[in-house]
Amino acid sequence: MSPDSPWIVWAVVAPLIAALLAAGFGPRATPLVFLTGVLGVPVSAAALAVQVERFGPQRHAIGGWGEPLGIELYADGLAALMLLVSAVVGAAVSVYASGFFGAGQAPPVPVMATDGSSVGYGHAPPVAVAGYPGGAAPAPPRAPHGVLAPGMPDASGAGQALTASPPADARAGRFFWPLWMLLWAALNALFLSRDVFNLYVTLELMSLSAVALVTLGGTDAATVAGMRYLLMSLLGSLLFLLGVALLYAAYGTLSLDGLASAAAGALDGGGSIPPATVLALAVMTVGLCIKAALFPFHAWLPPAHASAPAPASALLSGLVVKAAFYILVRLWLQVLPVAVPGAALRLIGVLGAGAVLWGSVLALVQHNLKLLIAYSTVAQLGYLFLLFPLLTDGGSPAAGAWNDAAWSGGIYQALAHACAKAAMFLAAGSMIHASGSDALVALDGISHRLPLSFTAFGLGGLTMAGLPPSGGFIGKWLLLTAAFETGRWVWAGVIAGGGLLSAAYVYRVLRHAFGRSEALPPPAPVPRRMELAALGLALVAVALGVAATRPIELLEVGAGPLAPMTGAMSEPGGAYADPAPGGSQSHEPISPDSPARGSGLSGAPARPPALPGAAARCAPILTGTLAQAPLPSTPGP
Amino acid sequence: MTPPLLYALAGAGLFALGLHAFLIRRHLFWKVLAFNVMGSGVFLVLIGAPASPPGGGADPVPQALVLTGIVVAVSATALAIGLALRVAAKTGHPHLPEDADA
Repeated sequence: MSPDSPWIVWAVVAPLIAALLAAGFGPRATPLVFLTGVLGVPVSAAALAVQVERFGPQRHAIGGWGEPLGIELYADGLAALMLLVSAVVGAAVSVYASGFFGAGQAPPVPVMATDGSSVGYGHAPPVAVAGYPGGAAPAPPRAPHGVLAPGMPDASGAGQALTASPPADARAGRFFWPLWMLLWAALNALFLSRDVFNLYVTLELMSLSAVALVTLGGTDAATVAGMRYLLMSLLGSLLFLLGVALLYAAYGTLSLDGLASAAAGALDGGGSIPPATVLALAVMTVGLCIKAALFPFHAWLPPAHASAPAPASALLSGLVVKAAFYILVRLWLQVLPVAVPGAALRLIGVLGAGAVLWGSVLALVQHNLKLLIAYSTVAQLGYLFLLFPLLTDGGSPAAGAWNDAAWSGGIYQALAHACAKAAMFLAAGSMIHASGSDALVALDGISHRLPLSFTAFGLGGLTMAGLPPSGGFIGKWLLLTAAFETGRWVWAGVIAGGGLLSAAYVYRVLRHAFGRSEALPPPAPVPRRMELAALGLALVAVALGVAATRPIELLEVGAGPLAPMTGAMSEPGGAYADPAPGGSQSHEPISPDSPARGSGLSGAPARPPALPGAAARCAPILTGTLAQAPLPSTPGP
Repeated sequence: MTPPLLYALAGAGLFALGLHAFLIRRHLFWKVLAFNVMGSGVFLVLIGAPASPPGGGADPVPQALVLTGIVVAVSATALAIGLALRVAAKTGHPHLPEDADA
């Protein structure tokens, strides 16, 4: 493993090539798509993680053009971990989707015809959350979000020949692959971005592909949900872009490092944080919260995630919503911690707590499986935002108290939830296909008929409820530890209460699944690879709970504010002025061919003093305390 | 008041106008138009707000950003209009169901 191998580039380029292949050659290219994207991304993500683990943060200037004009890719421990999870979830979903959309399979065979009077159990496609196949049937009365009310007769029609496999039509499959590969490329590029404008572009690319994925099912509900998602998403992006414009106006730089040191430097120099910075941070935060579906901006999420085809739901709930959270963490804790008042930390924590409780309660009253899982996503996303108020003793993170239990816990919850929720959506897709309906009551006895999918769902449920051994347990336990250590009992109560509610809604599904099944028609066969993909992903979520030390150690690489407030500005000039950035950054394997720094920019406006170097980044902020944190083997509270 | 500041203030005004229309208009096409007005406002802020470099001339970075932003906005608008047409065709109404009452 050479420190110079550009694996960081392949993590973005591989899915991009796959997207072009899939768009250009259609289903014939599916094997190539698997080779370049589905194999390429996990390999490059794993290699990059090893590089980060061994050699510290990785940086690559694309085409040799570094900041400020070029685009730089940068991976620290956080980025490498997000990339790894994106790779694992993405690979499993791809395997699942190849069964779901029937890529390269024989034409579907009619196996049975249903009696139209068998209420609720007609074998509609799994997107039947939304209603009726083909869109030709007369619209049935619908509940508020265009979702079939429980037990409502499925309009799949009397005597209609139904198919065993694949569960979705090939047309949707044709569009799924290019869209998903594009989404993957955008997502990976987002995790590796190091300037705010790139974050905007990748965020927008990701959202546009995600909206298209929602509408793949072609049903009325999916179209309406996709439209609502698109509008909310565009609003969020524009707010973020407005913040980018304000930040550039204030500091004349877009790079995260440059912004961090400029803001900290202004404060160090006896100045105060300009109002434009606070305004920029505020509009960016609102935009990102809309995109992350943080309570009370969550209303768009459940219909969109529930009406998408199962693989798309898994990607949206598992990965896409985490991207906005990731940017928020970077901005608040690493780039502009000096501009975040303690009140804002508590406010966003309150919203997170609201999401945990309200989302769980709504999940508890759903009658449809995918809607239940989608509301569970709203609730579990709330946990991520509890990271903010638990960070310090009520002060701003700039105070320097970098409470690693809350930080690791919040991020770990994001990683575990990505795997577990994707596994649950995949398993739900299989179960819905088998039972022919999205209603919870239709799941009676599914545990006997689809034991693998059922197991995957149950293991995912462990993470939702935060029970050991699961990744969700580690995340929630670390958050609880942070709350206990500082005596903040209210937050601890929210974490524990949310876990109980989660256990309750997971139990509702399990109760149906264990039910009796004699009176039901035989289940539609489910391709085996769909079941195995969901189970594999659920096992990863459990493994995250068993082997937590290594990921958490990786998370510490490069963590901490990018520019500490005191004593940081001792290296004026820094990267922008120094054509050969060595010195303090020497441990970073910067490719020797990054000539753009300081060259060719003589006409450009004066840049602020640049980043104080990696001294800040590798400061031992996080050392030690983890050893004291009670980790996996400790039984739950 | 310098011309760049004028641009920036006009941009902020456009953004506010667009945001207002985006939130209160029910027709999907209005919403897409409002999104574009908001976008133009942000672009004006980008162009206007940065101080000109001492040597005169314009800072090229915001112009590159605006160019990229326009490409993104055009793609998003195309997708939004296509989707709005499909919503209208499928539901018979050019607005979201929650806005249907008025």
